[in-house]
Amino acid sequence: MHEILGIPEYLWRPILAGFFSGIACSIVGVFIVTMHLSFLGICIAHSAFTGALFGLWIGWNPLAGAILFSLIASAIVGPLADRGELSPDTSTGIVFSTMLGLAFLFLGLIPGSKASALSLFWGNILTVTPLDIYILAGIALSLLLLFTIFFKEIHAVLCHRQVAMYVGIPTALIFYLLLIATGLTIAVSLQTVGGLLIYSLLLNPSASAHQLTYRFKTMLVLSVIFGITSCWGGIALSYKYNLPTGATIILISSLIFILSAIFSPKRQVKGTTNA
Amino acid sequence: MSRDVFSEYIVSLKNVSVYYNSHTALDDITLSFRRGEFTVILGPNGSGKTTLLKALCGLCKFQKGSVKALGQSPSSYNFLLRRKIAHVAQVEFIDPKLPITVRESVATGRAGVLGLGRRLSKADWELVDNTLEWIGISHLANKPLGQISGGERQKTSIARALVQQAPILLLDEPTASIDPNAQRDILDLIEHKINIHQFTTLYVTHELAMIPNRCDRIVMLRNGKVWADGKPEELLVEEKLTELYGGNGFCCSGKFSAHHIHH
Ligand SMILES: Nc1ncnc2c1ncn2[C@@H]1O[C@H](COP(=O)(O)OP(=O)(O)O)[C@@H](O)[C@H]1O
Ligand SMILES: [Mg+2]
Repeated sequence: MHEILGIPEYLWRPILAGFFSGIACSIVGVFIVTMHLSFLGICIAHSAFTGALFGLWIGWNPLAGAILFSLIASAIVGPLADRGELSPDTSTGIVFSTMLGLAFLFLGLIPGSKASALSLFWGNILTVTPLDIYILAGIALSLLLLFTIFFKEIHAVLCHRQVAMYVGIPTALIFYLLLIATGLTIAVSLQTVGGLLIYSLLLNPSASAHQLTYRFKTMLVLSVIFGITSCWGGIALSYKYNLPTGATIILISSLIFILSAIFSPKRQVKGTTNA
Repeated sequence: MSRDVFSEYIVSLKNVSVYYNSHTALDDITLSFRRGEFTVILGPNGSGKTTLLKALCGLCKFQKGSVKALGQSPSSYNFLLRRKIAHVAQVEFIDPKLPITVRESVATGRAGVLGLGRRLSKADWELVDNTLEWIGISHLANKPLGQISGGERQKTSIARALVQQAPILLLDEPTASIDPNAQRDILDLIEHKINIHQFTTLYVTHELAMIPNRCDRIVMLRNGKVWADGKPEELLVEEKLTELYGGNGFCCSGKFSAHHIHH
Protein backbone atom coordinates (compact mmCIF):
# COMPACT_ATOMS: atom_id res chain seq x y z
CA MET A 1 0.00 0.00 0.00
CA HIS A 2 1.28 3.46 -0.92
CA GLU A 3 1.95 5.68 2.08
CA ILE A 4 2.76 9.35 2.61
CA LEU A 5 4.20 10.26 6.02
CA GLY A 6 3.25 6.79 7.20
CA ILE A 7 -0.44 7.35 6.40
CA PRO A 8 -2.12 5.34 3.64
CA GLU A 9 -2.69 7.48 0.56
CA TYR A 10 -6.46 7.00 0.48
CA LEU A 11 -6.75 8.49 3.99
CA TRP A 12 -5.24 11.81 2.94
CA ARG A 13 -8.39 13.11 1.32
CA PRO A 14 -10.54 12.58 4.42
CA ILE A 15 -7.77 14.05 6.56
CA LEU A 16 -7.67 17.22 4.45
CA ALA A 17 -11.46 17.36 4.22
CA GLY A 18 -11.70 17.00 8.00
CA PHE A 19 -9.10 19.70 8.47
CA PHE A 20 -10.91 22.29 6.37
CA SER A 21 -14.38 21.24 7.50
CA GLY A 22 -13.22 21.45 11.10
CA ILE A 23 -11.91 24.97 10.58
CA ALA A 24 -14.94 26.25 8.66
CA CYS A 25 -17.58 24.73 10.93
CA SER A 26 -15.93 25.82 14.15
CA ILE A 27 -15.48 29.42 13.00
CA VAL A 28 -19.07 29.69 11.85
CA GLY A 29 -20.02 28.00 15.13
CA VAL A 30 -18.51 30.89 17.09
CA PHE A 31 -20.93 33.21 15.29
CA ILE A 32 -23.87 30.94 16.04
CA VAL A 33 -23.01 30.24 19.67
CA THR A 34 -22.06 33.78 20.66
CA MET A 35 -25.18 35.27 19.11
CA HIS A 36 -27.44 32.50 20.46
CA LEU A 37 -28.55 31.51 17.00
CA SER A 38 -28.51 27.73 17.36
CA PHE A 39 -32.05 27.45 16.03
CA LEU A 40 -30.91 29.32 12.94
CA GLY A 41 -28.10 26.78 12.55
CA ILE A 42 -30.55 23.88 12.70
CA CYS A 43 -32.80 25.55 10.19
CA ILE A 44 -30.04 26.21 7.68
CA ALA A 45 -28.57 22.73 8.13
CA HIS A 46 -31.87 21.06 7.36
CA SER A 47 -32.46 23.32 4.41
CA ALA A 48 -29.05 22.48 2.97
CA PHE A 49 -29.87 18.81 3.34
CA THR A 50 -33.20 19.28 1.61
CA GLY A 51 -31.47 21.26 -1.12
CA ALA A 52 -28.99 18.45 -1.73
CA LEU A 53 -31.87 15.99 -2.14
CA PHE A 54 -33.54 18.46 -4.46
CA GLY A 55 -30.30 18.60 -6.47
CA LEU A 56 -30.19 14.83 -6.73
CA TRP A 57 -33.79 14.73 -7.85
CA ILE A 58 -33.46 17.20 -10.71
CA GLY A 59 -30.04 15.90 -11.64
CA TRP A 60 -27.83 18.73 -10.37
CA ASN A 61 -24.75 18.41 -8.27
CA PRO A 62 -26.21 18.02 -4.75
CA LEU A 63 -23.81 20.74 -3.57
CA ALA A 64 -25.50 23.29 -5.85
CA GLY A 65 -28.90 22.38 -4.43
CA ALA A 66 -27.56 22.54 -0.87
CA ILE A 67 -26.07 26.01 -1.43
CA LEU A 68 -29.26 27.27 -3.05
CA PHE A 69 -31.50 26.02 -0.26
CA SER A 70 -29.27 27.12 2.59
CA LEU A 71 -29.10 30.62 1.14
CA ILE A 72 -32.88 30.68 0.76
CA ALA A 73 -33.27 29.59 4.38
CA SER A 74 -30.80 32.29 5.49
CA ALA A 75 -32.77 34.85 3.55
CA ILE A 76 -35.98 33.82 5.29
CA VAL A 77 -34.77 33.26 8.84
CA GLY A 78 -31.96 35.85 8.86
CA PRO A 79 -34.11 38.98 8.90
CA LEU A 80 -36.26 37.52 11.68
CA ALA A 81 -33.21 36.81 13.83
CA ASP A 82 -31.73 40.16 12.83
CA ARG A 83 -34.69 42.01 14.24
CA GLY A 84 -34.49 39.94 17.38
CA GLU A 85 -38.03 38.81 16.79
CA LEU A 86 -37.29 35.17 16.48
CA SER A 87 -38.27 32.92 19.29
CA PRO A 88 -37.03 29.44 18.49
CA ASP A 89 -40.58 28.14 18.42
CA THR A 90 -42.86 29.64 15.83
CA SER A 91 -41.11 31.02 12.78
CA THR A 92 -38.16 28.64 12.80
CA GLY A 93 -40.42 25.73 13.54
CA ILE A 94 -42.41 26.49 10.43
CA VAL A 95 -39.35 26.83 8.17
CA PHE A 96 -37.78 23.78 9.79
CA SER A 97 -40.79 21.50 9.39
CA THR A 98 -41.47 22.70 5.84
CA MET A 99 -37.89 21.86 4.92
CA LEU A 100 -38.15 18.45 6.52
CA GLY A 101 -41.38 17.78 4.63
CA LEU A 102 -39.72 18.79 1.38
CA ALA A 103 -36.75 16.57 2.18
CA PHE A 104 -38.98 13.52 2.41
CA LEU A 105 -40.82 14.59 -0.71
CA PHE A 106 -37.59 14.86 -2.73
CA LEU A 107 -36.35 11.61 -1.26
CA GLY A 108 -39.47 9.92 -2.58
CA LEU A 109 -39.17 11.61 -5.96
CA ILE A 110 -35.55 10.62 -6.59
CA PRO A 111 -35.69 7.87 -9.20
CA GLY A 112 -33.82 4.57 -8.84
CA SER A 113 -31.42 3.76 -6.03
CA LYS A 114 -31.55 6.01 -3.00
CA ALA A 115 -28.01 5.15 -1.91
CA SER A 116 -26.48 8.53 -2.78
CA ALA A 117 -29.42 10.27 -1.13
CA LEU A 118 -29.08 8.24 2.05
CA SER A 119 -25.35 8.94 2.20
CA LEU A 120 -26.30 12.59 2.64
CA PHE A 121 -27.80 11.68 6.00
CA TRP A 122 -24.50 10.40 7.33
CA GLY A 123 -22.10 12.06 4.94
CA ASN A 124 -19.13 10.17 3.66
CA ILE A 125 -15.82 11.72 4.34
CA LEU A 126 -14.01 8.71 2.90
CA THR A 127 -15.32 9.36 -0.60
CA VAL A 128 -14.76 13.12 -0.87
CA THR A 129 -13.48 14.22 -4.25
CA PRO A 130 -10.54 16.57 -4.82
CA LEU A 131 -13.08 19.19 -5.95
CA ASP A 132 -14.89 18.90 -2.60
CA ILE A 133 -11.59 19.47 -0.84
CA TYR A 134 -10.81 22.54 -2.92
CA ILE A 135 -14.21 24.00 -2.15
CA LEU A 136 -13.86 23.22 1.56
CA ALA A 137 -10.39 24.77 1.60
CA GLY A 138 -11.73 27.85 -0.18
CA ILE A 139 -14.49 28.29 2.38
CA ALA A 140 -12.19 27.70 5.36
CA LEU A 141 -9.59 30.17 4.11
CA SER A 142 -12.23 32.78 3.25
CA LEU A 143 -13.62 32.50 6.76
CA LEU A 144 -10.17 32.84 8.32
CA LEU A 145 -9.57 35.88 6.15
CA LEU A 146 -12.97 37.38 6.98
CA PHE A 147 -12.39 36.96 10.70
CA THR A 148 -8.86 38.37 10.48
CA ILE A 149 -9.74 41.45 8.46
CA PHE A 150 -12.98 42.28 10.23
CA PHE A 151 -11.97 41.01 13.65
CA LYS A 152 -12.93 44.13 15.58
CA GLU A 153 -16.23 44.54 13.75
CA ILE A 154 -17.18 40.88 14.13
CA HIS A 155 -16.24 40.90 17.80
CA ALA A 156 -18.35 43.98 18.39
CA VAL A 157 -21.36 42.68 16.46
CA LEU A 158 -21.26 39.25 18.12
CA CYS A 159 -20.84 40.44 21.70
CA HIS A 160 -22.25 43.90 21.58
CA ARG A 161 -24.85 44.24 18.89
CA GLN A 162 -26.52 47.37 20.22
CA VAL A 163 -23.27 49.17 20.94
CA ALA A 164 -21.80 48.17 17.57
CA MET A 165 -24.81 49.91 16.08
CA TYR A 166 -24.30 53.04 18.22
CA VAL A 167 -20.64 53.46 17.31
CA GLY A 168 -21.29 53.26 13.57
CA ILE A 169 -20.29 49.72 12.64
CA PRO A 170 -22.39 48.46 9.71
CA THR A 171 -23.90 45.69 11.83
CA ALA A 172 -26.38 44.48 9.21
CA LEU A 173 -23.60 44.06 6.64
CA ILE A 174 -21.45 42.04 9.06
CA PHE A 175 -24.42 39.96 10.21
CA TYR A 176 -25.50 39.01 6.69
CA LEU A 177 -21.94 38.34 5.61
CA LEU A 178 -21.64 35.85 8.46
CA LEU A 179 -25.04 34.40 7.69
CA ILE A 180 -24.11 33.75 4.06
CA ALA A 181 -20.82 32.22 5.23
CA THR A 182 -22.83 29.97 7.54
CA GLY A 183 -25.10 28.81 4.74
CA LEU A 184 -22.16 28.07 2.45
CA THR A 185 -20.18 26.26 5.15
CA ILE A 186 -23.10 24.04 6.03
CA ALA A 187 -23.87 23.24 2.41
CA VAL A 188 -20.27 22.42 1.62
CA SER A 189 -19.71 20.31 4.74
CA LEU A 190 -22.76 18.19 4.10
CA GLN A 191 -20.69 15.64 2.18
CA THR A 192 -18.26 15.26 5.03
CA VAL A 193 -20.42 14.83 8.09
CA GLY A 194 -23.88 14.53 6.66
CA GLY A 195 -27.15 16.36 7.15
CA LEU A 196 -28.02 14.85 10.49
CA LEU A 197 -24.65 15.40 12.12
CA ILE A 198 -23.43 18.71 10.72
CA TYR A 199 -25.28 20.60 13.38
CA SER A 200 -23.14 19.10 16.16
CA LEU A 201 -19.90 19.80 14.36
CA LEU A 202 -21.09 23.36 14.04
CA LEU A 203 -22.03 23.82 17.68
CA ASN A 204 -19.88 21.51 19.80
CA PRO A 205 -16.40 22.98 19.16
CA SER A 206 -17.50 26.59 19.61
CA ALA A 207 -19.75 25.80 22.57
CA SER A 208 -16.79 24.01 24.21
CA ALA A 209 -14.50 26.97 23.53
CA HIS A 210 -17.17 29.29 24.89
CA GLN A 211 -17.10 27.37 28.17
CA LEU A 212 -13.39 27.87 28.62
CA THR A 213 -12.55 31.52 28.00
CA TYR A 214 -13.64 35.13 28.16
CA ARG A 215 -11.23 36.14 25.39
CA PHE A 216 -12.79 36.22 21.97
CA LYS A 217 -9.54 35.49 20.15
CA THR A 218 -8.84 32.51 22.43
CA MET A 219 -12.37 31.29 21.85
CA LEU A 220 -11.84 31.32 18.08
CA VAL A 221 -8.51 29.54 18.30
CA LEU A 222 -9.80 26.90 20.73
CA SER A 223 -12.88 26.35 18.63
CA VAL A 224 -10.77 25.71 15.52
CA ILE A 225 -8.49 23.34 17.46
CA PHE A 226 -11.51 21.43 18.80
CA GLY A 227 -13.06 21.28 15.34
CA ILE A 228 -9.94 19.83 13.73
CA THR A 229 -9.37 17.47 16.68
CA SER A 230 -12.93 16.15 16.37
CA CYS A 231 -12.57 15.51 12.65
CA TRP A 232 -9.14 13.90 12.83
CA GLY A 233 -9.92 11.92 15.96
CA GLY A 234 -13.15 10.74 14.36
CA ILE A 235 -11.39 9.65 11.19
CA ALA A 236 -8.72 7.79 13.20
CA LEU A 237 -11.30 6.01 15.34
CA SER A 238 -13.46 5.05 12.41
CA TYR A 239 -10.40 3.78 10.52
CA LYS A 240 -9.13 1.77 13.46
CA TYR A 241 -12.42 0.22 14.58
CA ASN A 242 -14.29 0.33 11.29
CA LEU A 243 -17.03 2.64 12.57
CA PRO A 244 -19.13 5.21 10.65
CA THR A 245 -16.96 8.34 10.39
CA GLY A 246 -19.72 10.94 10.83
CA ALA A 247 -20.68 9.30 14.10
CA THR A 248 -17.16 9.13 15.53
CA ILE A 249 -16.51 12.77 14.59
CA ILE A 250 -19.61 13.91 16.40
CA LEU A 251 -19.02 11.72 19.44
CA ILE A 252 -15.52 13.11 19.88
CA SER A 253 -16.80 16.67 19.59
CA SER A 254 -19.45 15.86 22.21
CA LEU A 255 -16.80 14.38 24.49
CA ILE A 256 -14.79 17.59 24.16
CA PHE A 257 -17.89 19.55 25.07
CA ILE A 258 -18.57 17.45 28.16
CA LEU A 259 -14.99 17.86 29.36
CA SER A 260 -15.10 21.63 28.72
CA ALA A 261 -18.34 21.96 30.62
CA ILE A 262 -16.86 20.07 33.57
CA PHE A 263 -13.73 22.20 33.68
CA SER A 264 -15.45 25.45 32.73
CA PRO A 265 -14.59 28.52 34.82
CA LYS A 266 -18.02 29.82 33.86
CA ARG A 267 -19.92 27.02 35.57
CA GLN A 268 -20.87 29.22 38.49
CA VAL A 269 -21.82 32.14 36.29
CA LYS A 270 -25.52 32.47 35.64
CA GLY A 271 -26.13 33.16 31.98
CA THR A 272 -29.68 34.34 32.05
CA THR A 273 -30.35 37.10 34.52
CA ASN A 274 -28.13 39.88 35.75
CA ALA A 275 -29.54 43.30 36.47
CA MET B 1 -36.03 81.06 8.74
CA SER B 2 -33.22 81.93 6.33
CA ARG B 3 -30.71 79.41 5.14
CA ASP B 4 -27.83 81.21 6.88
CA VAL B 5 -29.44 81.07 10.26
CA PHE B 6 -30.27 77.41 9.76
CA SER B 7 -26.68 76.44 8.97
CA GLU B 8 -25.35 77.34 12.41
CA TYR B 9 -27.46 74.48 13.74
CA ILE B 10 -25.68 71.18 13.74
CA VAL B 11 -28.69 69.13 14.76
CA SER B 12 -32.31 69.88 14.02
CA LEU B 13 -35.67 68.21 14.26
CA LYS B 14 -38.68 69.50 12.38
CA ASN B 15 -42.21 68.41 13.34
CA VAL B 16 -40.99 65.02 14.44
CA SER B 17 -43.51 62.53 15.81
CA VAL B 18 -42.84 59.00 16.99
CA TYR B 19 -45.62 56.53 17.67
CA TYR B 20 -45.30 53.14 19.30
CA ASN B 21 -48.46 51.45 18.08
CA SER B 22 -51.13 53.80 19.35
CA HIS B 23 -48.89 55.44 21.96
CA THR B 24 -47.38 58.83 21.09
CA ALA B 25 -43.80 59.00 22.38
CA LEU B 26 -42.83 62.21 20.57
CA ASP B 27 -45.46 64.65 19.47
CA ASP B 28 -44.57 67.23 16.80
CA ILE B 29 -41.13 68.15 18.11
CA THR B 30 -39.27 71.03 16.49
CA LEU B 31 -35.87 71.79 17.99
CA SER B 32 -32.45 72.91 16.75
CA PHE B 33 -29.11 72.75 18.49
CA ARG B 34 -26.12 75.00 17.82
CA ARG B 35 -22.60 73.79 17.33
CA GLY B 36 -20.94 73.43 20.72
CA GLU B 37 -24.14 74.03 22.65
CA PHE B 38 -24.65 72.13 25.91
CA THR B 39 -28.33 71.37 26.30
CA VAL B 40 -29.92 69.64 29.25
CA ILE B 41 -33.12 67.79 28.46
CA LEU B 42 -35.36 67.45 31.47
CA GLY B 43 -38.61 65.62 31.87
CA PRO B 44 -40.40 63.03 33.94
CA ASN B 45 -40.16 59.31 33.14
CA GLY B 46 -41.84 58.41 29.88
CA SER B 47 -41.78 61.96 28.54
CA GLY B 48 -39.86 60.89 25.43
CA LYS B 49 -36.26 61.85 26.29
CA THR B 50 -34.70 58.53 25.28
CA THR B 51 -36.83 58.40 22.13
CA LEU B 52 -35.63 61.88 21.16
CA LEU B 53 -31.95 60.85 21.37
CA LYS B 54 -32.59 57.64 19.45
CA ALA B 55 -34.37 59.50 16.68
CA LEU B 56 -31.32 61.75 16.31
CA CYS B 57 -28.96 58.88 15.56
CA GLY B 58 -31.38 56.89 13.45
CA LEU B 59 -32.10 54.14 15.94
CA CYS B 60 -35.75 54.94 16.27
CA LYS B 61 -38.08 55.40 13.32
CA PHE B 62 -40.10 58.57 13.28
CA GLN B 63 -43.39 58.48 11.45
CA LYS B 64 -43.60 62.20 10.81
CA GLY B 65 -41.24 65.10 10.30
CA SER B 66 -37.57 65.29 9.41
CA VAL B 67 -34.28 65.17 11.28
CA LYS B 68 -30.91 66.52 10.18
CA ALA B 69 -27.64 65.95 11.97
CA LEU B 70 -24.40 67.32 10.50
CA GLY B 71 -26.30 67.84 7.27
CA GLN B 72 -27.33 64.18 6.99
CA SER B 73 -30.57 62.34 7.59
CA PRO B 74 -30.23 59.73 10.31
CA SER B 75 -31.56 56.25 9.56
CA SER B 76 -30.75 52.80 10.81
CA TYR B 77 -28.62 52.29 7.68
CA ASN B 78 -26.67 55.52 8.05
CA PHE B 79 -23.83 54.07 10.09
CA LEU B 80 -21.40 56.70 8.82
CA LEU B 81 -23.39 59.39 10.61
CA ARG B 82 -23.42 57.37 13.84
CA ARG B 83 -19.61 57.44 13.87
CA LYS B 84 -19.95 61.19 14.41
CA ILE B 85 -22.51 60.83 17.20
CA ALA B 86 -21.33 59.34 20.48
CA HIS B 87 -24.18 57.90 22.50
CA VAL B 88 -24.23 56.85 26.13
CA ALA B 89 -27.41 54.81 26.26
CA GLN B 90 -29.30 53.72 29.33
CA VAL B 91 -27.78 50.59 30.88
CA GLU B 92 -28.48 47.51 28.83
CA PHE B 93 -28.34 43.86 29.84
CA ILE B 94 -25.14 42.02 28.92
CA ASP B 95 -24.75 38.24 29.09
CA PRO B 96 -22.11 37.62 31.80
CA LYS B 97 -20.64 34.72 29.80
CA LEU B 98 -19.91 36.76 26.69
CA PRO B 99 -16.27 36.83 25.60
CA ILE B 100 -15.75 40.59 25.78
CA THR B 101 -13.82 42.59 28.37
CA VAL B 102 -14.34 46.09 29.68
CA ARG B 103 -11.27 47.33 27.81
CA GLU B 104 -12.47 45.75 24.56
CA SER B 105 -15.88 47.28 25.07
CA VAL B 106 -14.38 50.75 25.43
CA ALA B 107 -12.22 50.09 22.36
CA THR B 108 -15.43 49.52 20.37
CA GLY B 109 -15.76 53.30 20.50
CA ARG B 110 -12.73 53.50 18.19
CA ALA B 111 -13.91 50.60 16.01
CA GLY B 112 -16.56 52.59 14.20
CA VAL B 113 -14.52 55.75 13.71
CA LEU B 114 -11.51 53.91 12.29
CA GLY B 115 -13.51 52.27 9.55
CA LEU B 116 -13.96 48.72 8.31
CA GLY B 117 -10.97 46.43 8.54
CA ARG B 118 -8.65 49.03 10.12
CA ARG B 119 -6.89 47.93 13.27
CA LEU B 120 -6.60 50.01 16.41
CA SER B 121 -3.20 51.68 16.50
CA LYS B 122 -0.99 52.01 19.55
CA ALA B 123 -2.30 55.54 19.96
CA ASP B 124 -5.88 54.26 19.91
CA TRP B 125 -5.14 51.75 22.67
CA GLU B 126 -3.37 54.45 24.65
CA LEU B 127 -6.44 56.63 24.39
CA VAL B 128 -8.56 53.70 25.56
CA ASP B 129 -6.29 52.99 28.53
CA ASN B 130 -6.00 56.65 29.50
CA THR B 131 -9.75 57.05 29.39
CA LEU B 132 -10.25 53.96 31.54
CA GLU B 133 -7.78 55.37 34.03
CA TRP B 134 -9.33 58.77 33.92
CA ILE B 135 -12.88 57.57 34.53
CA GLY B 136 -11.57 55.34 37.32
CA ILE B 137 -12.14 51.82 35.99
CA SER B 138 -8.69 50.72 34.84
CA HIS B 139 -8.72 48.00 37.53
CA LEU B 140 -11.67 46.45 35.66
CA ALA B 141 -10.01 46.56 32.24
CA ASN B 142 -9.76 42.80 31.79
CA LYS B 143 -12.98 41.79 33.51
CA PRO B 144 -15.79 40.32 31.41
CA LEU B 145 -18.17 43.14 30.55
CA GLY B 146 -21.20 41.19 31.78
CA GLN B 147 -19.70 40.74 35.23
CA ILE B 148 -19.40 44.31 36.41
CA SER B 149 -22.04 46.32 38.23
CA GLY B 150 -24.56 48.62 36.59
CA GLY B 151 -22.62 51.70 37.69
CA GLU B 152 -19.35 50.29 36.40
CA ARG B 153 -21.02 49.46 33.11
CA GLN B 154 -22.26 53.00 32.89
CA LYS B 155 -18.71 54.28 33.38
CA THR B 156 -17.64 51.89 30.63
CA SER B 157 -20.26 53.36 28.30
CA ILE B 158 -19.10 56.88 29.13
CA ALA B 159 -15.49 55.92 28.42
CA ARG B 160 -16.54 54.34 25.12
CA ALA B 161 -18.41 57.47 24.07
CA LEU B 162 -15.44 59.67 24.99
CA VAL B 163 -12.87 57.65 23.01
CA GLN B 164 -15.14 57.98 19.99
CA GLN B 165 -14.30 61.74 20.00
CA ALA B 166 -17.37 62.52 17.94
CA PRO B 167 -18.56 66.10 17.45
CA ILE B 168 -22.01 65.27 18.87
CA LEU B 169 -22.43 63.67 22.29
CA LEU B 170 -25.75 62.23 23.44
CA LEU B 171 -25.92 61.33 27.13
CA ASP B 172 -28.95 59.43 28.37
CA GLU B 173 -28.96 59.61 32.17
CA PRO B 174 -25.26 58.72 32.15
CA THR B 175 -24.89 58.71 35.92
CA ALA B 176 -28.18 57.08 36.90
CA SER B 177 -26.63 53.83 38.22
CA ILE B 178 -23.49 55.34 39.71
CA ASP B 179 -23.15 55.82 43.51
CA PRO B 180 -24.69 59.13 44.54
CA ASN B 181 -21.41 60.43 45.97
CA ALA B 182 -19.51 59.59 42.77
CA GLN B 183 -22.13 60.92 40.36
CA ARG B 184 -21.01 64.52 40.62
CA ASP B 185 -17.37 63.58 40.04
CA ILE B 186 -18.19 61.63 36.90
CA LEU B 187 -20.41 64.41 35.66
CA ASP B 188 -17.59 66.91 36.23
CA LEU B 189 -15.19 64.65 34.32
CA ILE B 190 -17.56 64.45 31.36
CA GLU B 191 -18.07 68.21 31.43
CA HIS B 192 -14.35 68.77 31.44
CA LYS B 193 -13.95 66.71 28.24
CA ILE B 194 -16.90 68.42 26.64
CA ASN B 195 -15.37 71.82 27.31
CA ILE B 196 -12.01 70.78 25.89
CA HIS B 197 -13.41 69.22 22.69
CA GLN B 198 -16.40 71.54 22.26
CA PHE B 199 -18.78 68.63 21.68
CA THR B 200 -22.35 69.58 20.90
CA THR B 201 -24.03 67.91 23.85
CA LEU B 202 -27.54 66.73 24.61
CA TYR B 203 -27.68 65.62 28.19
CA VAL B 204 -30.81 63.83 29.32
CA THR B 205 -31.81 63.48 32.94
CA HIS B 206 -34.95 63.27 34.99
CA GLU B 207 -33.05 64.15 38.15
CA LEU B 208 -32.75 67.78 39.10
CA ALA B 209 -29.76 67.03 41.30
CA MET B 210 -27.89 65.90 38.21
CA ILE B 211 -27.88 69.12 36.25
CA PRO B 212 -24.29 69.86 35.19
CA ASN B 213 -22.51 73.05 36.17
CA ARG B 214 -22.28 74.11 32.57
CA CYS B 215 -25.65 74.27 30.95
CA ASP B 216 -26.35 76.63 28.06
CA ARG B 217 -29.94 75.71 27.56
CA ILE B 218 -32.73 73.66 29.08
CA VAL B 219 -35.38 71.83 27.10
CA MET B 220 -38.25 70.43 29.12
CA LEU B 221 -40.24 67.55 27.68
CA ARG B 222 -43.63 66.46 28.87
CA ASN B 223 -45.88 63.84 27.26
CA GLY B 224 -43.71 63.85 24.16
CA LYS B 225 -43.98 67.60 23.61
CA VAL B 226 -41.52 70.44 24.16
CA TRP B 227 -43.03 71.96 27.26
CA ALA B 228 -40.42 74.66 27.76
CA ASP B 229 -37.19 75.70 26.07
CA GLY B 230 -34.93 78.41 27.37
CA LYS B 231 -32.08 79.57 29.54
CA PRO B 232 -31.46 77.75 32.81
CA GLU B 233 -31.96 80.90 34.84
CA GLU B 234 -35.47 81.24 33.39
CA LEU B 235 -36.49 77.61 33.67
CA LEU B 236 -34.76 76.29 36.78
CA VAL B 237 -37.20 77.97 39.07
CA GLU B 238 -39.37 76.22 41.55
CA GLU B 239 -42.77 76.87 40.01
CA LYS B 240 -41.65 75.65 36.55
CA LEU B 241 -40.09 72.49 37.94
CA THR B 242 -42.99 71.69 40.21
CA GLU B 243 -45.35 72.08 37.28
CA LEU B 244 -43.17 69.97 34.97
CA TYR B 245 -43.07 67.10 37.38
CA GLY B 246 -46.76 67.21 38.06
CA GLY B 247 -47.00 69.38 41.17
CA ASN B 248 -48.40 67.82 44.33
CA GLY B 249 -45.96 69.31 46.75
CA PHE B 250 -42.87 68.17 44.88
CA CYS B 251 -39.98 70.11 46.34
CA CYS B 252 -36.84 70.70 44.42
CA SER B 253 -35.26 73.85 45.81
CA GLY B 254 -31.69 73.44 46.91
CA LYS B 255 -31.28 70.32 44.81
CA PHE B 256 -29.23 72.06 42.18
CA SER B 257 -26.46 74.53 42.77
CA ALA B 258 -27.25 78.19 42.98
CA HIS B 259 -24.99 79.26 40.11
CA HIS B 260 -27.53 78.00 37.55
CA ILE B 261 -29.78 80.80 38.59
CA HIS B 262 -27.20 83.55 38.94
CA HIS B 263 -25.46 83.14 35.61
N1 LIG C 1 -40.06 50.10 22.25
C1 LIG C 1 -41.15 50.69 22.76
N2 LIG C 1 -42.38 50.17 22.53
C2 LIG C 1 -43.49 50.75 23.02
N3 LIG C 1 -43.49 51.88 23.75
C3 LIG C 1 -42.30 52.45 24.01
C4 LIG C 1 -41.07 51.89 23.54
N4 LIG C 1 -40.05 52.68 23.94
C5 LIG C 1 -40.62 53.68 24.66
N5 LIG C 1 -41.96 53.55 24.69
C6 LIG C 1 -42.90 54.47 25.34
O1 LIG C 1 -42.66 55.77 24.85
C7 LIG C 1 -42.69 56.72 25.89
C8 LIG C 1 -41.42 57.51 25.92
O2 LIG C 1 -40.36 56.64 26.30
P1 LIG C 1 -38.90 57.16 26.57
O3 LIG C 1 -38.47 57.99 25.43
O4 LIG C 1 -38.08 55.98 26.90
O5 LIG C 1 -39.08 58.07 27.87
P2 LIG C 1 -38.03 58.67 28.88
O6 LIG C 1 -36.66 58.34 28.39
O7 LIG C 1 -38.31 60.12 28.89
O8 LIG C 1 -38.31 58.06 30.21
C9 LIG C 1 -42.96 55.95 27.17
O9 LIG C 1 -44.31 56.10 27.50
C10 LIG C 1 -42.66 54.53 26.84
O10 LIG C 1 -43.49 53.65 27.53
MG1 LIG D 1 -35.15 57.26 29.22
